[in-house]
Amino acid sequence: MNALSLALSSIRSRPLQSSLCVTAAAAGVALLAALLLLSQGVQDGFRRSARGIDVVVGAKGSPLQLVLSSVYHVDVPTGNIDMQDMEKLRHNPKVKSIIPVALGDNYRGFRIVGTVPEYLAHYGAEYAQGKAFAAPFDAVAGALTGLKTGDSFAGVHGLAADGDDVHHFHDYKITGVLKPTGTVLDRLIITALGSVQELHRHPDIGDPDAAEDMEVAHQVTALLVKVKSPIATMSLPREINATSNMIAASPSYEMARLSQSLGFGRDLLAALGIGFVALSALMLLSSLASSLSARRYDLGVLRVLGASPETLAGTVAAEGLILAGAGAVAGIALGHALAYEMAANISSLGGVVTPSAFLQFHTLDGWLLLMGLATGLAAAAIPALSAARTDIAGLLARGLA
Amino acid sequence: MLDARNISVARKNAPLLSFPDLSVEFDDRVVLLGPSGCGKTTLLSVIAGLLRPNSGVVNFHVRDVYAMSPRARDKWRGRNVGCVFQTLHLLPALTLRQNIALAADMAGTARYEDRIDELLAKLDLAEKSHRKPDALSQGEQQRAAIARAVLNKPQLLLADEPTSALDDANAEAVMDLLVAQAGETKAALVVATHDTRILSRFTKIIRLDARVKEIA
Repeated sequence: MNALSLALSSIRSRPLQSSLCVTAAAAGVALLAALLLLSQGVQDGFRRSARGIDVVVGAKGSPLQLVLSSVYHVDVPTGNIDMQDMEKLRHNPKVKSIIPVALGDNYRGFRIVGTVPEYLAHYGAEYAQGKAFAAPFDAVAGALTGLKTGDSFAGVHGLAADGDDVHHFHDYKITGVLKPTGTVLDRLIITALGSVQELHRHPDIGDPDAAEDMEVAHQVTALLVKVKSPIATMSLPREINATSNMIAASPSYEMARLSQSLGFGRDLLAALGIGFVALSALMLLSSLASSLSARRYDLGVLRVLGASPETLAGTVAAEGLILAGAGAVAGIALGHALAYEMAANISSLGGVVTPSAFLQFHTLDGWLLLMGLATGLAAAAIPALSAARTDIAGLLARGLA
Repeated sequence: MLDARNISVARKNAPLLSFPDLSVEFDDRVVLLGPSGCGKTTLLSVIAGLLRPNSGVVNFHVRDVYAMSPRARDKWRGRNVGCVFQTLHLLPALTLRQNIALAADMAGTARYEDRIDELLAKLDLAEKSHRKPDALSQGEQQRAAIARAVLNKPQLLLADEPTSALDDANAEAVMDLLVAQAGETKAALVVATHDTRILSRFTKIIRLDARVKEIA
């Protein structure tokens, strides 16, 4: 028997109290773990989706809106720009490559993106079935769209899933389905830029937006630009904003701004998680203190048998560490399960976070375990000191013997 | 073997207790006799190295117990002193065998399973060695507490009111066991009690009204 086995036997002798302590610690750690894992997952997902895109160029409007709509496909586009502006920009010496995107339609909420094959290559797309689009109105479906090769459908004008402005006379046909990429590509339907423009060049009969559509036929929504040098990431947007009727934005800068704006809510949730952990620490402290009070005579016996004050303190500290450690491990596992469930079931997280990523060990887990153990040790510190200072002679005089 | 001289102890909210000198040799059977509150348990605590006296010295084989470092004193107590308490105090979360083995584990001595088996057999506890204390009778718990006290073959066996709550027959049985175990390990036995029924078992009676009386 050593401090560890004595602590274990003490824990086993109080199953209800011990399991309550573990549950409280697990709840706090699970909340924190899920929050941090999801937050990290979303940030990584956003970073993955914007990787290699230095600058986004589009119609005048909010730069954040431009980035959200053209890179992440979660907002309404700021407008369209003329193809000739794209060609002019292509000759800018700071520009290495340009991928145009034309937006405006969707199918069951999945946005239809008219673009060039380089867009698929940019995200390292691989085919789960079928092949790339070749003929007009051929399309490739992202992994989360639920479409399969051979499916055909009519696009709906606008970005709302329940829109009723259907392009009845121009059906898209799925020629390939992509493997999951963990990027925004997973929830997009990709077709040739020409297909989207063609659709609007020949609007449906009686379409009230026919005039507007004719304009779109010579336009794109945004340009995803890769620059030649890091310095151009800063100078190109300034140049475009000052000398053209377009707006240029850096995805990394805009997302950093967005993250800062959302920071309050995230901090609030983190504070809640930390509050839970602190509460569980208090519960552990109370449990250890009451256990100590009940076991004071047991500890007295150990001292009489030759145990040092340090051994007694070690027994109580080990108890705190075991309970907090078990709570932290359970909480980390629960946090992963929670993050997995949320990633798998919240549709807006589709293509941003990959649920299976939460089934793996993260560095964060190690930190959470350390935090749990440190909390347990802190909660056990006072009872452990009290155990070390047990007045054996006083106990003997009062009735141990 | 053990000499306690000029011992006095001042406890919080209690009058200063002065004790008569005490000298214990191998095979001695010493009883500290006195009414409740006279300081019997306090003197046992001082002898066991658990309570530093305000004055006086406790020598064990000419070595001052309170000159040792606290850690050395704990180790010394674990290896050389066996204690039996009035209310037994086996740890409820441990089995009988684990409770007995605690004496070796806490003292840091080698844990001889054969010695535990021998004691369990001798004290008729072998078949119940894996039971928890609350599944044992009072008598069985008492025997287990004595087994724990003698496991490390201590040179000094201390017992505090071991018979006070027992009827005559059980008091006799407990004293038989204590004397036998002390005899087997060649330990000196020091018992603090106010139970006059057991006085015939001792070679030396020390009354804690400061008068010392020796009998052959």
